[in-house]
Amino acid sequence: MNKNKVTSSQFFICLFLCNMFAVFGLFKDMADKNPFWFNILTAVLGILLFILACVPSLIISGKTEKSLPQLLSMGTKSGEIIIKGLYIMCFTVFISVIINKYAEFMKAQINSDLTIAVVIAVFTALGGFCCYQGIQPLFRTAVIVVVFVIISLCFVFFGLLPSINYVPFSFTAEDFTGFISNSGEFLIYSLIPVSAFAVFYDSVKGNKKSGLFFCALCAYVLFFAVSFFIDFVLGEYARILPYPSYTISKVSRISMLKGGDGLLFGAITASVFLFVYLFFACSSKVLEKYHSKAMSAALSALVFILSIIMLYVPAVYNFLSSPVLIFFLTSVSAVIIPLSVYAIRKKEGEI
Amino acid sequence: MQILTRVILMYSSLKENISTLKEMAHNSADFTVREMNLKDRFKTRFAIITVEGMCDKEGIAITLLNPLNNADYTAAKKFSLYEYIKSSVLSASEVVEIDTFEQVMTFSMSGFAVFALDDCPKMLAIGIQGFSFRGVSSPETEVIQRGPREGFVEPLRINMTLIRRRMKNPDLVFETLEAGDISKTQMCICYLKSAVSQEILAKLRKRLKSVNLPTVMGAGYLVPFLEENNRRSLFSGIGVTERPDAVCGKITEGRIAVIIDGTPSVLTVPHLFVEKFQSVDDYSNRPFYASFTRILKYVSFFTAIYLPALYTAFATFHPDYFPALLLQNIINSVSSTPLPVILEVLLILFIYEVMREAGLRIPRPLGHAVSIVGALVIGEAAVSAGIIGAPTLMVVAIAAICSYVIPDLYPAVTVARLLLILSGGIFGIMGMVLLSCIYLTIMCSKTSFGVPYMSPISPFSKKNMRDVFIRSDWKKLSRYTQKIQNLSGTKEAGNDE
Repeated sequence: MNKNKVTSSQFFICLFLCNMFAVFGLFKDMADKNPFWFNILTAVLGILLFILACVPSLIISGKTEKSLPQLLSMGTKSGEIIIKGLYIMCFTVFISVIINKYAEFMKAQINSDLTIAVVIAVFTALGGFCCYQGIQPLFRTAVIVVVFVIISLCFVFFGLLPSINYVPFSFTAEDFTGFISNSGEFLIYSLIPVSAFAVFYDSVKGNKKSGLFFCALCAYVLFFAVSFFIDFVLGEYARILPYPSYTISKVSRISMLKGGDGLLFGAITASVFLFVYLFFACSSKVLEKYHSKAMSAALSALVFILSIIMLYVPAVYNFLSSPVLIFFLTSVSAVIIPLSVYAIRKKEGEI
Repeated sequence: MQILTRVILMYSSLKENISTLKEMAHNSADFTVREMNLKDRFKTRFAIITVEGMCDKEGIAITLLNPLNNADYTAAKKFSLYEYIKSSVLSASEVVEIDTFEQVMTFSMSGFAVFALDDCPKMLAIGIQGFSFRGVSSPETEVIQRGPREGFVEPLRINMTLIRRRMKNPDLVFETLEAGDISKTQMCICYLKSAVSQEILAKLRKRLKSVNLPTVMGAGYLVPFLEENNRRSLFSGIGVTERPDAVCGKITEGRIAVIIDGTPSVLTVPHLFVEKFQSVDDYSNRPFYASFTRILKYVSFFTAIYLPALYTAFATFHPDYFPALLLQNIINSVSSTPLPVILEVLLILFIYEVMREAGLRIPRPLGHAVSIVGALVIGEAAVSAGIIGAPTLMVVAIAAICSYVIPDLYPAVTVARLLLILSGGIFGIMGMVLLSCIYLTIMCSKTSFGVPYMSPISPFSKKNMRDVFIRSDWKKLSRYTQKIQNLSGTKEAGNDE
C-alpha cells in the first residue's frame, strides 16, 4: 500500500498549475483567427476531453489499489522494461517540448538576448534536483505556488476591467477552420498533465472525481477569461501579437500600480517549473526509484540532451512538438497503456 | 581520559580511595580533600571531597561538618557506622549513594560534596551545589513588551525550576541525559506526559544518545544531531528559545524541550516554519494588534529577502517594471555609478555585513566610532563620490532593517537574500522565481521529527490556521489544543489531509 499519499486537492492544484503555460505560453496563434465565442466552445470541449482522458485512470483506481508500476511488474520482465521505457520517453519529450516552448516565449517577450541553452540547463538541473527531493514536496509546493498565481491573476484581471471595450463579434466559415486548427493545439497541450494522473492515481486520496472536475473547470475558466480579455481589451490588435495572452498583462493597471506582466511572468515560470518537476516525479514513480541521485542525474541528462537537440535541429523540434505527436504520446501514456495493462491483468486473473 | 571512562569500584581503605581519586584528578589544584576524624570510640577517619568553587561552603558546614561533629555515636557500631551516618546524621535533602570512582568524579565536578569513610567501599554524594551564576533576568534576544521578564540562565537545575514553577502538574516530566565524552554535559528533556507523542520522544532520545561530540558547550552543538532531513537547508527544524513561558506553551502542544547545562538557550522540537513568526507578545496583546504585527513580520521577512533581488533584476533586465516617476531617478543613479547594479548591491551588502559583525564583536566604547565611520563613509561619502547610487543604498538599508524584525531568521535571510540577488542579477525574474521554487521545495520536503516543516500552510489545515497569519482570540484558541503530532502530514497522523 502506498504510504506517501497526497490529497486530491493538492494533486489537482498541481495539475491546474501545470496547465497554466498551455493558456499563456501556447496561445500564440489562437487569437489570429478565433473569435471569442469559439474560445468558449474550446473551453467546453477542453473540459470534456480532459475528463474523458482521466476516465481510464479513474476506473483503474476504483477497481484496484495497485499502482501502474505494480501492474506492469506483474507481467514479463521485458514487457515491463519496454513499457517503462516508453513512459520515460513520453515524459522526456513532454518536458523538453515545454522547456523549449517556454524559452522561445521568454526570448520573444522578456529578453531577446537570452541564451536558450542556459534556460534549458537551468530547468533540467532544477528538475533533477527536485526529483531527488521526492514526490510529496511537489504537491505541497504547488499549494503555496497557487496562492501566488491567484494573486497575480487577480491583479492582472482586475487591472484589465477598466479597459474592456465591448465590440460586437461575428464569425464566418473561415473562422471555423481556424478554430479547428488552432484550438486543437491548445487542447492537446492542455491534456498533457492527464498523463501524470495515469501514473499517480494510486497516490491520490479523497474525492478524485470532483477534484478532477474542478481542476478541468478552473483551467478552462482561466482560458475563457484570458480569451475574453484578449478579445474585449486588445480586440483587433491581438491578431498581430505573438503572445496576446501575455500582452494583456502589460495593459493591466490598478490605479498607479502596474507590473502585472512581471507578476504573470513569475506565475508562468513557476507553472513551468512545476510541470518539469511533475514529469520528473512521474519518471521516478514509473521507475519506482525515489530519492535516487543516479536516476535524477540520468533523467536530467536525458532531458538536457533532447532539449538541446530540439534547439539546434528545427526538424526534430517541429516533429516532437507537433500536436499530432503530443496527442499520440498523451493518449498512449494516459489511456492506452493503463487500460491495456489493466485489461490484461484482469483477464489473467491477477487482480 | 581513559581512567575516567573505566568503571572502578572503590576500596575499603580511605587512604587508598583518596590516593586513587587524586591520581584520577591529576592532583588538580581545585580538587580538594579534607580529612578528619569522627568523634566516635574508634576515631574513624573520614574525608570530604569537593571541587573548589562548586560547593556552598556554608552548606558544607551546616549539612555536613556540624552534624558529623555533634552527632552521638554511642549507639553506632563500627560495621554500621556508614548506615548510621547516612540515615541519622546528615541533614542534607539530597544524598546519593555511590560506589565507583567515576561517580565520585562526576558528582564532585557537578558541585556535590562527597563524604568518604574509612573501612567502607561506598561514599555519599551530598547536594550542596554553590557555584556562582548569572541571576535570572530578562532574555536579551527575546525582548517583550508585556509578560514575564524571566529568562533561562546557565545552570540546568535553575532552568528546570523556572519551568516547574509555571507548570504545577505531575504530568510534567524531566529526564536527564549526558552528552560530550570529555565535557560530560548534563542535558534534560522536558515534556508533558499526557501531550507528548511517544514516537517523537523515542526518536529524540535516540538522537540525543547518538551525539558523539567530545564537548557540548552550547545548544548549537546538538542541532545537527537533531535535524531530520535537509540538514543543509537554510531554515532550521529545531526551535531555540530563552523564555520559560514560551517553553511551557510549546510543551502543552506536545513539543519537547531540551535543556542543556551551561547555556540559557533551550531547544524545542518539533519546530515549524510558522513558529518563527510567533512571539510571546502576540498572546499578551489584543488579537487585532497581534494579527497586525504577525502580518508585519511576514511582510518584513519577504521584503528582507526579495527587495534587493527585485531591485537588481528590474534595474538589470526589466527597467520597464519601475513606476515611471521612479524610473528616471534610477536611470540617473545607475548611469552615474561605475559598477553594474548587481555588484553595487553586493558591495553595499558586504560592507553592511562587515560593519554589523564588527559592531557585534568590538568593545562597546568603540562601537560609536564604527557607527560614525559607517554612516559617514557609506551613507554620505560613497554616494557623493559616485561609487554607489542613493536608491541602491536605500534598498539595501530597508532590507537590512526588515531582516531584524525576526532575529531568529537572520542567518537564513542573509544567505537567501544573497543567492536571490545573484540569481536575479544573472537570470532576472526567471532566476528569482526558480530559486524561490527551489527554496519552497526544500522547505516542503523538510520535516521536523516527522512533522512537515511547512505545516499547517502546506499541507494545509484550516483549523490550525487560527494562529498563523491571524492570531485568533483566546476564546477561540482555548476551544482545543492541537497536538503537534496530530497535524496533517505527520507520520503519526497519516498522510496530508
